[in-house]
Amino acid sequence: MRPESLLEIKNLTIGLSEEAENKTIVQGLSLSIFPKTIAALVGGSGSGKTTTGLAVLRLLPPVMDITQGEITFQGKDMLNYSIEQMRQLRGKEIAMVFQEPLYAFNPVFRIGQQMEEVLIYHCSLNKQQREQRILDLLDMVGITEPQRVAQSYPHQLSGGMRQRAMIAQAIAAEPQLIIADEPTSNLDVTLQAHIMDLFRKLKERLNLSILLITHDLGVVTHLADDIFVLSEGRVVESGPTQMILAKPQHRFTQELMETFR
Amino acid sequence: MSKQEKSLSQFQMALRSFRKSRIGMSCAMILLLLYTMALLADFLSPYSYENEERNYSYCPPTRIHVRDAEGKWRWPFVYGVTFHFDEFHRRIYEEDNTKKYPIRFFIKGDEYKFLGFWRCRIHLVGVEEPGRFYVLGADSRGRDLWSRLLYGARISLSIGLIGVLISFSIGLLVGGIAGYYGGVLDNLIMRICEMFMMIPGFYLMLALRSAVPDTFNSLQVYFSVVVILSFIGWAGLARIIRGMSISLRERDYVLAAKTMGLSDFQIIVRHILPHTLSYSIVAIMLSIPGYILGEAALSLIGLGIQDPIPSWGNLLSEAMGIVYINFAPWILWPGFSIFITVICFNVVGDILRDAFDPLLKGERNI
Repeated sequence: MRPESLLEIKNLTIGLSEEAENKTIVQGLSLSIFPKTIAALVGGSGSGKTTTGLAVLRLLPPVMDITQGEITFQGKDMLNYSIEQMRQLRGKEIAMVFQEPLYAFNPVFRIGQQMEEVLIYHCSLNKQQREQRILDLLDMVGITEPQRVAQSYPHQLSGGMRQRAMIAQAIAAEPQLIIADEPTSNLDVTLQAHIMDLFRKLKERLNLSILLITHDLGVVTHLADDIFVLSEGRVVESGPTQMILAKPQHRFTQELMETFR
Repeated sequence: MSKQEKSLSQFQMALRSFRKSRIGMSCAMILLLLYTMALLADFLSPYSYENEERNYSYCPPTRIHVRDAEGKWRWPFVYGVTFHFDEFHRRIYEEDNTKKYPIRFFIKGDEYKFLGFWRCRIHLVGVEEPGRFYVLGADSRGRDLWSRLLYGARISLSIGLIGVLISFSIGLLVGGIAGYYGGVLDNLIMRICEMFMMIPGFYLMLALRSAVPDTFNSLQVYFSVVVILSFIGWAGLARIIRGMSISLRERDYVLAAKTMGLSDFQIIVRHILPHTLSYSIVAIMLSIPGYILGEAALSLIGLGIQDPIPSWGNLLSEAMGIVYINFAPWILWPGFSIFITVICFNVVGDILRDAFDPLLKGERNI
């Protein structure tokens, strides 16, 4: 018997507000993430991966709407949360890591200043404690010169450094769950391995759960505990990683595996 | 390495680019000088703005002599004046060689509060009573135009800054909110903006001024003029900021900020408005002249700052008749001051705009 799930999505359906009848982006998606595990949501482009990630944070673009289903986090129905409750939850309980941190960081502020925003909002620390915490966080994600990075603007860092800084920002308020949306797609293979390694370490160290959204089955094989394969808005196959990789049932999964072999 | 690595903010880069422009820097220096003079007006001026001597009505600028009647070199001094009436009953002033008043520095004169705090009587230059020292000439009531020009600068120059500060705070916030939320709120706010922009500015100004009770004292009038001017100015800015905000809200870092739990207000202030800054700074520079001219226009027709408090506008109102300009051309000095200030603000704004434009970096040569 596995422990109670941290995040449970049941029968989630997301449609465009205007034409919700016939145009659905995600259809009847169900997935559960257990504490201290990494779940991978794998699918081709346009399959609704990112939309699902945003739906969890209730940050869907105005044209989209959750038409059906439920999302429970720590046993509570998140769809009933007020705007203020959601705001408290974002960053503090569930944080997000984006595909391209160059755009996910505000170009006009230094990395340190942006990390500080999360701390100001979610943690009650004074100025010095915050500065120390930022350096600790940057150190934790394997940045060797935290002082310099904190003082840098996003465009001054390399892609890998930026992604590490982004992860540092995501774990700043010690969330339970991190949604990582294609965190390695723009990095080269060596860096991908480094970042994946970092996720694994952070999971152990901070008791994190991670929802890894990716199109690349190769990335997740060594990392994910469970895999959910998404195709055209539906979960076509799901289960523990070993099982899926050993015996892919669905044609789409097989195709995905072909590409990475 | 250290120089290359040293990170400059957008603002620092623009400033560096601005420094390269000679015209821009000289105009900025002139503005700085004007504002310093306004700040130190009571020390720099020989008389207070109220100090009048009716016997010196429209007395021309006092000439400074270094040689006396016998041709001997002396410490700079001025002669006393006498006058007679010509055939048009105008006063013609002549120097009276028998009365000599040496020019004194740090001379005791009218009392004032230095920088608003310390009681003080020291003035930079002046002559002993009963001599009068008119640097730029006197107005109809024998008040020193130079002193009144300096005091007037306080009003005219500060109205631009305060007015722009108020209207830009409103404009930025309202525009940011309208663009960020969009939808019905955006529609509503923009229609209100358009209502303000629809009415010609000057008539709106007059209409608003007529709503201000005439029992107000000079300070209240000053602030009502500021409020009226900024009331007109915010709408245009709000429209442009709203447009920028619509495109900025789609940026990834705005979404990222949302996922971190920042409130809408924080996102607007921290992640949207700073990106409009390069535009706003230029717009601020270019719109300050509008406020200065607005005040001048109101005061010129007697609806703004009231005599005896001087402003460049009401000083200029003496120069409304061609006869007076012909007889005492120095009363045009306030107009010249307005002209210089407006030109300088426009040039600084123009060059700042280039400085903030990343595409022009390093190429511009003025």
